[in-house]
Amino acid sequence: MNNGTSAEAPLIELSNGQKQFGLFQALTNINLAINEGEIVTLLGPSGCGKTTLMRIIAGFETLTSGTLKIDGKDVASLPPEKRPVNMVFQRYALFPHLDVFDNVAYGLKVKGVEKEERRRRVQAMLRTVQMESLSHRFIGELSGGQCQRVALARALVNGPRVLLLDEPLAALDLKIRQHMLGEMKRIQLETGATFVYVTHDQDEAMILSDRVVLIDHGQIVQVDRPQDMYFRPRSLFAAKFLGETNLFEGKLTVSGIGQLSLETQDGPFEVVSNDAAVSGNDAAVMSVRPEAMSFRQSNAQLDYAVDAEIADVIFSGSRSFFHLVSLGGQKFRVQVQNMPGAALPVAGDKVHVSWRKDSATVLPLSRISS
Amino acid sequence: MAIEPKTSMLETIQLTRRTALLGLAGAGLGVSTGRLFVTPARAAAGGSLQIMAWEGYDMTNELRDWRSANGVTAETSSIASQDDVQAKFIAGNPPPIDLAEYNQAYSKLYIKDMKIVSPIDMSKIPNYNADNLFDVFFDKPTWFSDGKHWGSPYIWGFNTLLYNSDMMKKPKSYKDLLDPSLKGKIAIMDDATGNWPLIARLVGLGDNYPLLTREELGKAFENFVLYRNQARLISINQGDVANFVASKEVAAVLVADPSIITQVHAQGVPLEMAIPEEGPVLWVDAWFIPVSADNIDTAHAFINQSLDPQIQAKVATAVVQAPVSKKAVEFLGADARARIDYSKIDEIFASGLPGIPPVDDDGEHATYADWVQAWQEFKAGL
Amino acid sequence: MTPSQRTGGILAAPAATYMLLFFVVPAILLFSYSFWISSGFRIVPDFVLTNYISAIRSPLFLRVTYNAIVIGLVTASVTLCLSIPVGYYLTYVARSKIIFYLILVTWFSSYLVRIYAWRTLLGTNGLLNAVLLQLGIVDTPVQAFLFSPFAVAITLTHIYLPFAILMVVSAMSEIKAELIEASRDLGTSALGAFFRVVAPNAAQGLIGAFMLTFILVAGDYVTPQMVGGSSGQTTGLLIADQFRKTGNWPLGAAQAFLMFLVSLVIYALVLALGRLTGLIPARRKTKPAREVA
Repeated sequence: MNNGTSAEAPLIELSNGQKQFGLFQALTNINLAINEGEIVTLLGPSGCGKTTLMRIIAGFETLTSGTLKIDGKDVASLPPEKRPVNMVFQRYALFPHLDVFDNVAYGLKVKGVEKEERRRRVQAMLRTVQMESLSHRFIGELSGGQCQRVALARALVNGPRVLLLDEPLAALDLKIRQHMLGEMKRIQLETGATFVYVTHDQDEAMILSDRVVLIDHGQIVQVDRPQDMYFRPRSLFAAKFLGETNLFEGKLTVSGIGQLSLETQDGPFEVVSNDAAVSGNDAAVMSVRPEAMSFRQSNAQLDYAVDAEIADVIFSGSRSFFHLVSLGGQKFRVQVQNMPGAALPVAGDKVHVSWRKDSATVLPLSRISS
Repeated sequence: MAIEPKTSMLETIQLTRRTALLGLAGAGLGVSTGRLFVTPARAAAGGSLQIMAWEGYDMTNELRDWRSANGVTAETSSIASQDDVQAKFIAGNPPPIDLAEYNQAYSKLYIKDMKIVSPIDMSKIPNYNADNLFDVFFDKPTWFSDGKHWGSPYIWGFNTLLYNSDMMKKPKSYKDLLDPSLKGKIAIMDDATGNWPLIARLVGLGDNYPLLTREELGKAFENFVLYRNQARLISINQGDVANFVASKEVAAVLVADPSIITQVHAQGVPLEMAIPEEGPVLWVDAWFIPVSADNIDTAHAFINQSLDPQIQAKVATAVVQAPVSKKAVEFLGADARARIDYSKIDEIFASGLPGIPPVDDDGEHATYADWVQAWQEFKAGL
Repeated sequence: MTPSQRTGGILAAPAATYMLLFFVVPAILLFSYSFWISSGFRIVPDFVLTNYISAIRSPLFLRVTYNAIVIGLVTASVTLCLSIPVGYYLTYVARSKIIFYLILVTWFSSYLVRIYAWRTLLGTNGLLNAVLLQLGIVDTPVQAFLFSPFAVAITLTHIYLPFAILMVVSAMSEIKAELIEASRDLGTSALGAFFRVVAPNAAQGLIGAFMLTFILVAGDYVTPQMVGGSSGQTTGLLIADQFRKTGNWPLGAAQAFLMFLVSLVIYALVLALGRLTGLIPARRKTKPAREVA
């Protein structure tokens, strides 16, 4: 897996990108670099601008201001048909008047590739996506997953530098979706293409990506590897969007030289890691993942702890979920792996909950990281 | 016998031995709505009348008072050519038309061949008498045969050459229109039966009309192509040609209803009438009651009204044609009396009124259908 | 019969009955008339091919039918070519209600009014001549604009254009804009996308627009009568005359059905041409999909 750092120039480079539709500001201050061979996901809620950003890369929209370079060349004047980019559309956009084979061969035919060569490449690609036995079907005869594979093949067969995927799994059932995610990773490794993936589903993003670009209301909130973004979110938005989290609200005070403390209703928490660069007198929260908390004894040096009462327990096979209310009135959740034979507290128990200091993040209450 | 040309009154009207008469006064297509009222002296009037007539000949205005006094409403369908009338009767189940006009040329076709005319009870029409009507119209074979009255003569007139006196000299013959200076400046009316007699006369076969052999028919139309070459358009109705005359694109109309003159004068263009040596084309229209009529009494009352001298004068003035009623002449204006010398009416009609080419093939002569086809070919440039 | 089939049948019944009573049956009647003969303004039942043969042999009929076909093809082609960019714009570029309504509004003016309008425009003193004189392209007004096949074609194009645009927009609406983007993504220009993707998928609708315009134009007789002059006469008037002037309904019916045949032939030719140039794809029967990953 490519870790996203490369000594060469990035394949796609957006600088100071702005996009306006009339009075509506769709994208603000976009600075993004994507390297060759990566899988980068543009992640965000519906309407955040991720699709617009992707269409700008594809050439179906243009930046209101800023530059877009692909392979070092400014492509502002390049129409979509001339960019070394291919797209997999959300609803596949397969051509109904052509069968699977001709759909996949379309791009090659347009470029003037010879018939024999065309046939060879199309067959190879159909094998890759495992659709070779269905090459004579028309799209009315294909299932959703099959259509998706054809769309993928149609785009990839042209050997693009960049493959854009616009929420390609949105229309599929859960099981098929999971299967296709695996397929796509496999295909990316096989072909070595650069994938720019757009989705609102954080699971897809975490499973698939080398790096995640989190977007909210047209601005880039954070760009990081999935695990980094998960464990070290730098904004409240990021913390809440990726996975589940508990938020302890409080106010920051200066507790010593270079020391901050978060005053909550459960007492002060000394701020250890300050990724979000919060400062004194801000209203802030401490974000802790439910699985980072446990009912063990706490170590004052290494852990934070609260006392709480268990409101509810949900047994879910491999895990149990606990709903608790702290003495200070804060509601939160704890997730525990079920080990055979382990004794777990029940509803009504008063427990001591602790978590490692470095597993928590203190975040300001504003949405965007500075 | 030929009639000597008169210099005044009837202009230089000249009649050849057989002058064809055709009703023209082109009208538009379509159905009209207005109801006509008929007040007979005796017959029970009332109800509704369905009438087929040339536009302006249905007496909408002239009989307005009579209609309201008698509770009669009338619906008129305008016809654009006489053929529109028989078209209604071709395939069984004709509509209940109470009154229709027919041009005298069609009398045999309607009365004897198609048998769509029902006899008129003249006892119900007191205005039909020898005192009121000119002699040439009273009990004559065209309208009175086998002891029965089939048609009631109503209006007559003639079509002739019309020309713009600013743009050209008064022509002496229709052939004057072949002058090269008039190329593209004349108009021909798309009225088949209105042109046919003239087409025959222009090749000297006027006396034979309507019985020409197929060969003669071909020759006549071949000659007529010369006129088409001179034509700017073959106009489908009066309003149409009036526009072209008014815009001065057309300097002369080959043979048309002089009532166009009033339309054009109103726009300040000096359109005049000329009676060339080949003669005008005379026509007489009569009312008849079709076999499908349902309001027969009111129809009779209507016809009676149509022969009232004052009504006659009004209609004749309105459509710029001539009345069949002697007594109507005194009610005509000076212009109308200047146009036609009514004292000479017997002479005008002396050569009789010819018909239309035979409908059935007698083996020798061109049939009505042959003429229609020739006319269609003429229009299509063949 | 399933409940939904029954409901469908009931809903379709009124329209189907109407079509049957007022179109199919009269058409069959007319067809049977075409084998009768006419004599003296009466029609007589018979079973002969005289009418068809005499129509085919008549130079007049051939000439006016030729005119009808040429004018029909030219008008339909021009109309389609003009409708496609407008339809494309309305479907994919800007769904402008204003333009759409403007197009519809032109339809509200009466048919005859338009004919008279074109008469004035193309006449000796008309706008066209005035412009040409002004620009010095001609010295004297051109008389040949009016009363010619050209006048007929331009008038009928004007009359049927809104109709064709509506049909083209309707056909193109079925083709999602995404397909054009996909085609461009794969390397064609926007124009290329039209020919390779939109046209084949909208082919039925486009051909429908073409053929309907052709049929309406080829059968029209009011316009040729009023602006066609001698060189622009078409079959329609001939057929009308058979019904009105000569009372020869059988001949008129035969001529009408010959025109019908002509339209069928043209349709077949258009389809063949479309298939040949690849604008119309060869379709296969498709089987419904099964849910499979």
